[in-house]
Amino acid sequence: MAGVAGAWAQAELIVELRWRLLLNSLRTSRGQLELIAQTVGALVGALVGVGIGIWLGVMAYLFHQPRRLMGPTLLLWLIFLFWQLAPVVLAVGGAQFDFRGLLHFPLRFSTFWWLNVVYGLFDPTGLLALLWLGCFAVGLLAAQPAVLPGLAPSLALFAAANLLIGRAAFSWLERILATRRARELAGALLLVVILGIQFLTPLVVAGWKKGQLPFLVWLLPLAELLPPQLAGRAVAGAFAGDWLAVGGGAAGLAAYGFGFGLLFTRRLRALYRGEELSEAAAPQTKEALVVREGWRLPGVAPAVAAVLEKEMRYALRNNPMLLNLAMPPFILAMLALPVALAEGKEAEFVFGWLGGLLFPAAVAYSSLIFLAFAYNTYAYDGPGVQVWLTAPVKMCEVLMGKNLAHAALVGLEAALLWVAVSVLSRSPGLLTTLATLAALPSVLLVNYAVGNLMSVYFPRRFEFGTMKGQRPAGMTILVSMLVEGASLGLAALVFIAGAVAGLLWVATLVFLLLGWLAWWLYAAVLAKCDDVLREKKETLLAELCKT
Amino acid sequence: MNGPAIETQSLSRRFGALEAVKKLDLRVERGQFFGFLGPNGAGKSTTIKMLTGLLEPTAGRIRILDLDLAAEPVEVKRQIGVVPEGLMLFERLTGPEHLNFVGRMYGLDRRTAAERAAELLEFMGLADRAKTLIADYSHGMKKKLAMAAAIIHGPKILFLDEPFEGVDAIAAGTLKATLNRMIARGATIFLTSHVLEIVERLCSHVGIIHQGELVAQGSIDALRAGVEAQLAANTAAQAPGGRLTLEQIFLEIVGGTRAAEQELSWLA
Repeated sequence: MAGVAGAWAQAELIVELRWRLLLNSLRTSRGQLELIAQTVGALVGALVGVGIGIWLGVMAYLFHQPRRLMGPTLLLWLIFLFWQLAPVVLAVGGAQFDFRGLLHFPLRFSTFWWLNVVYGLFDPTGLLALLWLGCFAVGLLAAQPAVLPGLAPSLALFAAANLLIGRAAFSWLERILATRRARELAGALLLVVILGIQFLTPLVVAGWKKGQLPFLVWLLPLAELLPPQLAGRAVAGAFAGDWLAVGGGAAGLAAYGFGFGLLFTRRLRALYRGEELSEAAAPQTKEALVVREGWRLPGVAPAVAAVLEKEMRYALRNNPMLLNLAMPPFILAMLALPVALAEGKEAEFVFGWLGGLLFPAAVAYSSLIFLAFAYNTYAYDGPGVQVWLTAPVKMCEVLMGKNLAHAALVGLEAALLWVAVSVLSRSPGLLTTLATLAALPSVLLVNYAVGNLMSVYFPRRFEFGTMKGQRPAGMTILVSMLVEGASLGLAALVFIAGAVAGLLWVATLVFLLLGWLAWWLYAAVLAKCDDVLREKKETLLAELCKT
Repeated sequence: MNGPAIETQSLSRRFGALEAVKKLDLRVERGQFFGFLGPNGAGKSTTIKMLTGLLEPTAGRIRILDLDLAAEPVEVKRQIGVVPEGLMLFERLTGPEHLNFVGRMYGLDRRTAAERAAELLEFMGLADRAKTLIADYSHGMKKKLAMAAAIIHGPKILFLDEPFEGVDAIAAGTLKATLNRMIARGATIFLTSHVLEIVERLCSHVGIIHQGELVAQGSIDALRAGVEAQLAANTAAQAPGGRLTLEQIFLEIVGGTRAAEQELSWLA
């Protein structure tokens, strides 16, 4: 029987495996281009990283002062936040290396533990953080070489604590995000937090200036207990020759390292013992069988109604789509609220004549965002696309259902925007509302006509609830930009001309005429879609059914 | 009209330089349980995709229940059900939503679609996962749901591509019960599978495709008799004792070699 390979030999094997995978990926031109793109990205990242490192070193050199915490501690905060947050953001956005795959081999727990730690140390964010910490240390040592005995162990403990906090947090995050539902929820939560921070920052700053947020001051002492503050205290102690401060800071960091090390080891033990985290293994609760009848939409063919219902269900379960629904009113609020709070002449921008254009501009902006989905209409169907091809329906019915669902969402968004504009500024007038709504069909129909064709010719499969790496084909981007630009540009010209001349009712009539022409184009393209699909269905299936 | 359930004439499909299916003349009678066999890459999936309208043939004709697939695709699709290898499921719907949707796509009214969906979910043992998204189903559950979706409109012919792959014994039992029930009611079933024991137990007739060509077609008993006669005539070959299994028939027809009898002395 073969013995278990030593830890070093196992690590060597893993490196060799990764190397062979890289070499094999270069067999295709796609793989070669990917490597070039990654190399260029890594070079640019390294240049930026080195630049930031030099800046940190210079700042550390300039900031150092005995017993003064502020300067170096701020720099340590930067390193700490980057080290901890960057991997988390990357983990929510996409797939990470799964160490559980290694457990198929006879791997000792100690080796498994070290591989996990080393991976944390040598992943791009870990390497950058380590480089920055090194530059920071060099800057301080250049200022006063005699601090080395106090500085070196403190910063080494800071690095170890960071590494173990990061690995522990990551391993627990992996546990929490093990199910698809949790991942999607976390992705949505992250977006809400990012948007919320942007939204709240001006309000918090304004409140802080007015002294309305004293509770934030209470939080500051708690920050003293966090690793960057402890490391900052040890650094300041080293400069002042205060060994008690150095020892206190280092002990605090060691405690962090030990505590998070234990948490990390606990998670790894569970993984090592074969913990299964997928949905299928989760305890299943029985659910009552309720089968409701499908939607009844008067005047709509049953198959088209079924497609529309499916599309609406898909849209409302899709985080990026929901984000797009929330984004325009949110941006409108973000732009308008600070101006409205300013209470001065700036507010006239929102409440004055230009405010009358707010609703059509917001609808145009939201259409621009939503139309991207119309150019890759099968993106989220995945292998389900085969249903369209095996069911006794014509593709034009399917596309009509999809387009109707899309139009319903654009309509819903327009209604939301009307309310948002009314609350933040003033209600758009009747003529403005009518002209805006009359412009929508012409813009949408032209884009649907072209989008339906592009969806068949250049399909791309998108993963649900994921934003990272979801790009349509290059040709789709180009064509959609041209058509969206032309159709929205023409609508804007007609609208502005009508508004300036005070003849918005004429603009409304022009939009109705354009809408009729667009309908003619749309119907003509729709009639051809089944023939086009017959030619291109292999492309569609190959792209959407790939695993 | 009472022609065969499935009939192809010189059916061919080319992918660039590769001729995946070569002038296939296939005939499956109504009510037959037909197994379509072949080694990996022989052209089974390509054939089933062409028969179900998922792939355009390069040449040849397909008639399903006396209807020309190229001329009347929608009418043909109304008569058939399909469970392709890459299951055609909308994974962000729940099981009931998906069945309801597919039923309506096949022309069922809203009430009938909902009633049949509930009945099928009960039959397939999926009723207690009614609120779960399909994305969260196990592989076996997805196979059963795909089968339910394929038969919700009561098709006269059911096409299945590797229906038992990755399915446990319990799920396989449900699938087999469903297929036998359909056969008992006069439907035609066309399936591909690598599990020859299952094909032998379920199917009355088989077709064997090898390197894109149909090398044998008929009832299992007829094929067995043919191979046994050939083996008896060939004195160099040693006929295996007893009745030939489908696996042995298959290996004889496609010329597969049996496992090399090397020593592998290091194996425990």
